[in-house]
Amino acid sequence: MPRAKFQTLTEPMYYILLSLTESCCGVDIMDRVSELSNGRVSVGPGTLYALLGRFEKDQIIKEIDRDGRKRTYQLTDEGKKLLKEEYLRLVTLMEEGKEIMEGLE
Amino acid sequence: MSKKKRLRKFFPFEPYESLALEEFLGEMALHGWMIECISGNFLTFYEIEPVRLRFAVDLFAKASVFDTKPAEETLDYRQYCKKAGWKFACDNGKVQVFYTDQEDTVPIQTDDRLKMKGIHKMLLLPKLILWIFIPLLTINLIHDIVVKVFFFTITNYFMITTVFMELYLLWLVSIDFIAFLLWEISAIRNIKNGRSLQYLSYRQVKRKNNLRIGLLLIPLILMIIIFTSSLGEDSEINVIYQVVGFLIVTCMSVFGYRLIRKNRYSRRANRMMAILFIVFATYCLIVFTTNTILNIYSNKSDEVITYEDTDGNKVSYYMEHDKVPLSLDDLGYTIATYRDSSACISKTFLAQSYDYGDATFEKLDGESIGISYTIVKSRFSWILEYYIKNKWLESSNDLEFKKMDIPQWEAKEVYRQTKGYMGGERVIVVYSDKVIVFESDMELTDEQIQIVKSKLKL
Repeated sequence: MPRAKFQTLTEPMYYILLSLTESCCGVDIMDRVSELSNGRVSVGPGTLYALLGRFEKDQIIKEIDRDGRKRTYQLTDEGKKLLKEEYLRLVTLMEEGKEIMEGLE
Repeated sequence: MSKKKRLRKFFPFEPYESLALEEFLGEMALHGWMIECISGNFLTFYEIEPVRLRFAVDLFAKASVFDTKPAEETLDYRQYCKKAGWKFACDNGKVQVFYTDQEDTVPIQTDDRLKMKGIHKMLLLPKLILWIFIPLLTINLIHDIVVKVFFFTITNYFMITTVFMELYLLWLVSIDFIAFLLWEISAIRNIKNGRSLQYLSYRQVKRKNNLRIGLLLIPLILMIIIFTSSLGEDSEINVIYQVVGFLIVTCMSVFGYRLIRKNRYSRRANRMMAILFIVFATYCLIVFTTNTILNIYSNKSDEVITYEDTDGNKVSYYMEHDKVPLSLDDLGYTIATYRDSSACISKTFLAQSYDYGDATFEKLDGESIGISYTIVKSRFSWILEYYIKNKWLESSNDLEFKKMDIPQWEAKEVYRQTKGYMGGERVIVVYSDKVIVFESDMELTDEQIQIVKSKLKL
């Protein structure tokens, strides 16, 4: 059960999964994460490699192509569900805090 | 083509001390030395133009020291690092070393929890074995040789060195355990508070390594003392035996390590070879050590002389009996067909032990008459007191002694064994600087006591 294992995704995990909503080569994910987060989040290559391994093992992502050492990954249906749940969780957090936070200004 | 200048440095480090290695490699590059390879605790550098480089020392769990060539996963992982701007420098098993000349290259690990998990995965199982078994074995061994054979230990440099070696091993394991524990506590606290992991710096690790190596001097100095003090003596053979044994095991270990590092065989074959080498080296070490101890014990029967006397009887000497300061002849006994004399001397700066024996008998399987005595000397009175109590008066061997008043001995105290000794008598005579344990198949007369005292200069 991926959801049980990844109760809440860390920022790098969230952005890696966001990057893989479209197929993407493993080594390019680092750039993609940086782009998506406007350079705010960066994932180290060691961390990325380890996380991809864990995601693949838990069937959150799958390898869809291999060209020599280049591996292309994409989210699985399970992964999409997990990402969506996390997105909704973040939206809920934001909405629940919105009124109070706007009142603070 | 000119040959590259190389430099070797000894730098032991643990997986959680990667920052120290990174700092050290950076300093070396700044001084014009680039890391070439890591073999065990030795780092080899080659000369370059001094340059400011950033190093990253990472642990890659899927790599192994037994890999013939980097596994596919390792190459994939390095590809990721390359893409991030890290150039591969060298590896040693799971330890992977990268460098970059850019200041803004993203660190290889950006998730501390994941990194800590990796360190635990790599470290905990082997370390737990080390932290539990080595102290248990060592404390047990030290207890045995200090308590059970205390006097044998303090009169032999070999045994004293063994105790120090064991203590040194315990010291190493303790430093290792405490250092890891401190790091682990600080790491857990930092992660809990959302701070990044703190690693020991190069200076701190250097200090720790100095502590590790510093105490090695004690057993090494002792070994030198043993070697120099044993030259020309009977025990020389023990030392030579031990040194040769140590050299053989060391050479075997180096040969085995090099064979595995030559990357000729598969990971499986390398692992099997390593296991075989470890088993064989341990076996050799045990055999050499046991034989050395047995040699020390069996000094008494080093020399065996057998000849026929004028009546055609065989006479055997286990030692020239003129080495024995007090013999049966001195006490007025006639030597029968066979004779067995022995002398064994062992001494250190702590204490000296002189063991003598002289026996004579008509038939090889017949009854004998004999004496044996041990003279123990030490400038430390607590050693003599401990010897008397530990070995005799309070030993667990069901022996009973009674304090006697025998003025002929002119001693501080005299004890006679009343239980646990078959035939004859055993007396312990205590003087201020020595103790004599005298055993005989007959009770000594006053006149014989005077002879013993005069012969043994009591």
